[in-house]
Amino acid sequence: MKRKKQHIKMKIPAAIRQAILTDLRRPHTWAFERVGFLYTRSKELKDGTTLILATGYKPIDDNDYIQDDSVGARINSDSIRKAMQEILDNKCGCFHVHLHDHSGKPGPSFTDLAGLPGVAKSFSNISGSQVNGYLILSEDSFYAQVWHADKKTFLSPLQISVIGYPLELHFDGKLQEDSSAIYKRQNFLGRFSTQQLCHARVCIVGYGGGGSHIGQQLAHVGLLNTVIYDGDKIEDSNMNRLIGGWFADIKKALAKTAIARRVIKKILPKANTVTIDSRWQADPEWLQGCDLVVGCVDTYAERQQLEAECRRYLIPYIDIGMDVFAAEDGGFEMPGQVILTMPGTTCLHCFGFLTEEKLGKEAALYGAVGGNPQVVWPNGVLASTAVGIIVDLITGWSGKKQSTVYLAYDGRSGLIEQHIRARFAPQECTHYPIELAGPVSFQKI
Amino acid sequence: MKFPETQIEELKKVAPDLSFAEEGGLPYFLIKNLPMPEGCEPSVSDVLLCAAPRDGYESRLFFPKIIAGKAGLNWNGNLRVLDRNWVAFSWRTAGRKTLVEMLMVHLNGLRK
Repeated sequence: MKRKKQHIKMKIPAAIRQAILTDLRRPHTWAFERVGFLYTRSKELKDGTTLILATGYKPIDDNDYIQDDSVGARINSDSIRKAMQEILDNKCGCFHVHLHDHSGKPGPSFTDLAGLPGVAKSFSNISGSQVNGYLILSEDSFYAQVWHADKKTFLSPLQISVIGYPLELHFDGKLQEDSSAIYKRQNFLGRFSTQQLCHARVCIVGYGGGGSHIGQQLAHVGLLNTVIYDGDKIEDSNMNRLIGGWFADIKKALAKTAIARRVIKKILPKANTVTIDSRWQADPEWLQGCDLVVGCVDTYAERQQLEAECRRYLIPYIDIGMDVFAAEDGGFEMPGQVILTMPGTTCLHCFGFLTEEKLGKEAALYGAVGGNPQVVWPNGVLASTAVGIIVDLITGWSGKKQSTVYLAYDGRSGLIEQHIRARFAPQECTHYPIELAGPVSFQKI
Repeated sequence: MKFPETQIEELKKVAPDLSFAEEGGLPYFLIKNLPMPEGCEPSVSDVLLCAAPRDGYESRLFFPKIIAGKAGLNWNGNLRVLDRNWVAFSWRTAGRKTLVEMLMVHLNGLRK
């Protein structure tokens, strides 16, 4: 049997990384440094990727440090027992964490190499299928080793991501600057932006009026890895807005995903485009392995399910959509939205964009919400705005630090501005707490 | 979990293999190997009870696949809840109900 390539992706919410740094930088009465435990949930995807999702951090109690001047920090067996109890109670994995407080990629010391693998292996004795390991943070980077009990070996993650705005995508190996002519006009995105765009993977759910703009534009900026879901075939009613759709495709009833492939590959021949001709729910693991998801879907129910899945797998979610309806003055209103929701912060429910009332009214229609008016230009405005957010999240070119985006579009005036709800929405989300991220762990009653 | 212990105990009597999880701020009870009403196929199924208003319903009962038996039920498919795909039929459980009552009203919907 062909062995799958081992690919480990670790995701740490920005708030948890900050909590770790704050804790580990506190002085201790007798220890020279501090350590802590990062709790995680992991899942092996069918493409061989092991996802490790950080769901919580706990410091070591002050009294659980042993006085020992020969090492930076030595902890007692009580602290290990507490971590093991946490693993048992929450069916999770655990990473020993400490800090090498300098910039650049940290590495393990001889002491680390002598002691930490044993701690990770001992956690594996009780954590079932959940992986364990050790993590060393620096000011701005990471070193991690993951113990795979099945394979009896330590492996390095190929990617460690800090889930915030911008996304910090740390890749194994050195990033190279790009000097090709194709991207020289966008070099303000950052020295390593081309490589960042080559490594990140973005999922587009729904390749219609909105998604087709996004697929095309992401290919132009050089984003190499996309996952595209759409179970529909092109019809004549799509031709007013499906970018890349040809008249001849209608007769062939070409799948929208085939159109996506054709467009993207013509622009970016090296593109690694995974297309799935179904709803994402039928094959969700491709989505779960992505760094970002853009939802270009028609219904509130779809948005609710997509956001829940993204929260579970610590994926920022960008939602775009528009509507057209009769205005009181006899004309038409054309509102739209671009929303970014980040795990741990304001969600679509917190924003009031999703409500039980809206979901209930929609459900009462039994899904008969298709056929609404749609046109190409507002789709383009909203999709372009979303692409701007995607590129900013991956490269951080704008220097903005924000946790969410909620933009309202008015198709009559052509204006996009911050939605008033963005000013009043709670910063912390109570609907999707970070500690519930990862594969579901039901509590036995 | 904000349900009275008495209601949980009552539910456990009819659904001994019971576990709990939350998603999107909603409470869900996973019941494994629950016997379905007579004439249903399969005769035993896992179910997921959402014990709070959702999608305009007072509560919802999700199944891993369509339960064959009663004709004319309005099934909705491929609903992703708690990392798994479910189906549910459109059924109201109006009025204040205990957990067991909610479950029974939904199951009654499957009776011929």
